[in-house]
Amino acid sequence: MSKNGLRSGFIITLIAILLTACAGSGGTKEASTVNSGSNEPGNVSETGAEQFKPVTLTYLSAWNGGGGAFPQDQENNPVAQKIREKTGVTLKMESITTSEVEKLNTIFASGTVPDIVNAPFWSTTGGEGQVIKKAAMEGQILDLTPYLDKYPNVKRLVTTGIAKDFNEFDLNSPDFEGKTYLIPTETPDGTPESIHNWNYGLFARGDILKALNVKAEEIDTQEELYDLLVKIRDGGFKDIAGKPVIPAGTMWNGWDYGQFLAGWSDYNISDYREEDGKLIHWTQSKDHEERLLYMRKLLNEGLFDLEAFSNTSTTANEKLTTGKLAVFGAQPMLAELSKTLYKTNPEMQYELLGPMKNKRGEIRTQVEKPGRSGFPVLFLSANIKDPDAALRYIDYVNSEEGRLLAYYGIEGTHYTLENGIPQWIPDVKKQFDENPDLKRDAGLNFLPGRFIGAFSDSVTWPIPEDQKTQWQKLEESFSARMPIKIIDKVSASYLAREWPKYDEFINKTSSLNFDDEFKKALFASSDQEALNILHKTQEKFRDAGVEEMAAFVAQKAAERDDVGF
Amino acid sequence: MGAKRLTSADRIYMVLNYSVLFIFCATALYPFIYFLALSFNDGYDAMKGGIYFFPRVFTLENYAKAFTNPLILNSFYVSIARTVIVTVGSVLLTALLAYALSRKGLPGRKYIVFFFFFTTLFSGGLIPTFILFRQIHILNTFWVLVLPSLYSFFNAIIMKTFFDGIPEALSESARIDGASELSVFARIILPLSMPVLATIALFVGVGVWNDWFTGQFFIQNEKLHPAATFLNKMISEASFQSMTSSSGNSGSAIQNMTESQLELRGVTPEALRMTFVIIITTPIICVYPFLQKYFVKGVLVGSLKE
Repeated sequence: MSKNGLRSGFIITLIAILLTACAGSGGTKEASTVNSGSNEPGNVSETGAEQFKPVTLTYLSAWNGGGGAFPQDQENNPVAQKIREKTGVTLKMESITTSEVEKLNTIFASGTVPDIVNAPFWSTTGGEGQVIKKAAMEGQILDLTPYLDKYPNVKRLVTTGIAKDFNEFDLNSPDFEGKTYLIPTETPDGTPESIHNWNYGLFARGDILKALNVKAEEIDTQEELYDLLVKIRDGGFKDIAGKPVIPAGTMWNGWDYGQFLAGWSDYNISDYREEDGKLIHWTQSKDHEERLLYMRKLLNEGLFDLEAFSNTSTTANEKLTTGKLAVFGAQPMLAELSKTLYKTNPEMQYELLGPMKNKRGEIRTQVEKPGRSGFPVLFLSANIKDPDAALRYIDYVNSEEGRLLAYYGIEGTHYTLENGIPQWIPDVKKQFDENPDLKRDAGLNFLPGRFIGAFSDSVTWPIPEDQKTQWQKLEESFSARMPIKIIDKVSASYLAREWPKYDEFINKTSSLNFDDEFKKALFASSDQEALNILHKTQEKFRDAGVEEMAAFVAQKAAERDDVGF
Repeated sequence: MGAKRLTSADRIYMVLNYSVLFIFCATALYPFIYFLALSFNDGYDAMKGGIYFFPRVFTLENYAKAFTNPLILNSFYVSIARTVIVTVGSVLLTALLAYALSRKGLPGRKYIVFFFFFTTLFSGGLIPTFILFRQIHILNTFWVLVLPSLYSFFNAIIMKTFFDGIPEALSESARIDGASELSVFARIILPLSMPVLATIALFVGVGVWNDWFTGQFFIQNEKLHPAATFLNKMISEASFQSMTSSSGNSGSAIQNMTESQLELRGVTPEALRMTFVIIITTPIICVYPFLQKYFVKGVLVGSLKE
């Protein structure tokens, strides 16, 4: 056979194989595995309760590590048995330990969407939310609109505890054309008390404050903070290993150094600020110069941990649990400290400074809208054989009875009701305390947060004072000093999406990270160089059109009376 | 006649040589010692740092936590089965392929080699691979852990290069005596190729043993998860749980813990991570000494050709 003949034969073979591979049927969309249970109720039992034919539905928790809450026996744990008795539904559960976006892309691209999926939904402009939105618009997610009136608890979930701007622009995006695809979960019940307070602030070692004769609540301005840090640096204080403390620091990756700059913060719910009578994008604020120079002063004078921004979780925890940080900015970190430093050195217990005052002279605190913006959502596959079974399940667990079951289990077996408040049976509580996996395996971990919404267990079933741990009381004391500021407005950030050049702006600024540049400027060799880095970064945002965008947002905001900045 | 006397230069060289080797050994060994120490230390105490060689607060809680899930033993059985089947199968199939490609008389050999090489230039990506596995019905089955791992072009080339170095005269003389091609392969080539077979077996075995991704992405049935996938899952779930309260909300974990829960939860995700590293690497460390002599011989495999 000639060489040319061989070569030609090979090339033809290669092309043929490539064409075969590329011209695959694409596969037919497989329905998710559902036993063909009928939605029609079966017999009515002797007690008069409706009995449903048994149905098994597939469920995916699209959260990295979310399977940790699953009971060992998914089908026959007490909670699952009770739910099956009430609804006829058994869940076959699956979770992931990889990227949520990757998993969602895979199930939608391959047509293997489980019957019920719970996934993160933070926004429709990126991440998981964007993937979910696209799938909904392509008809891969079931339109729930015809079912809502039949399932009042599900209807309550789609209308309660959601920030109105998130509801308008994301959850019920105009692209959905009035259809409801998603069921929010882990949402508050609509009351201010149900919004979780993370208690961000500055926390200082109590023994150091005592030695310096300083009261924590008296430190509430940037100047006072600076003076305190200088005293700490010069005071020769030590950690538990006898090594000098670092006056101030943060947890991993510099989280949250912003607490040290509270004096330039304000009550904002958007990316826009009113400065000198004009609406500007937050990157353009003149405050950044003062913030930059203040942080540089702390770093250059040995008042702030030079490694703060490169701390890993291991090094950050080491500094925290040895009392190496005299002052840290973050959440109170009680889960770590209560098991370590506070046990061995209770005198070092950290106290909340201030609270710090913001630009207005008011306390810097957590700012929230009445509802939540971004949460886990449930959605059903468009190919689900028995949508009523799925909605029946979700509706039941969100009923009063279902929630008690989800959080506390079986009445009489796990808990009793006293004045309408569930109380653990002491032996059961002891077992669950000694081995938390028993609680998980009773089925008491996987429903709250992933199936239940528009609810707050702490509001509906408040823990009696005598049952609260000292750490719960401490967290509450922090919350009392830093009550959440609620702003019931539509975030101006959403208005920017209507700007014709919005996508272009996003593309131009996708590689620009203001915070990274700011951190770079913190370590510049001189203040002038630092300011140059800052100004160059701000200029890049201006070149991308940020001023024009702000002007557009200002104009749009003027057309409504419910916009907040 | 006695032992050669060492000169000063020899002594200096020996000291330097052993020092450098010691440093390399210590650098390679220390991380394992560190992980071992942390795996036997209370997780919260470990947060304070300062643990270098020995645990400070000894505990078996981390291992107890790691082994509480009954599926962990099952996952090891799956891993062992997978590793053995893939290692034996891959070595055999790769050897067959490499032998065929090393035969100079194979028609279109150059083009066939190019064809195999061509497939390494790009990949369809994760989702097309997922769809392919679904179409050939190996998704969520044991075979998805086995079949894709049986073939590797790079291993085939390493073997082919080694086979190219075996004198042709040996095979020819066997053929003259009436041996079939398969007999030549099994009785002449394979016995002479122990170094490369052991090397490839080690590469494949370790790679497959440590692979967690295939099980994670292509298998939903927990009973089919190999050990690496299972342990990776436990670490992710432990991290996830430590961020959320026991009620499942993403609120502060402390706010929903009781006093005794706070007392007892000494197992941290970090400690679990260390424990799992020890659990997953120990079997390989136990197997390696048996393959070491072949590995040493096989280090230069593929580098020389007659």
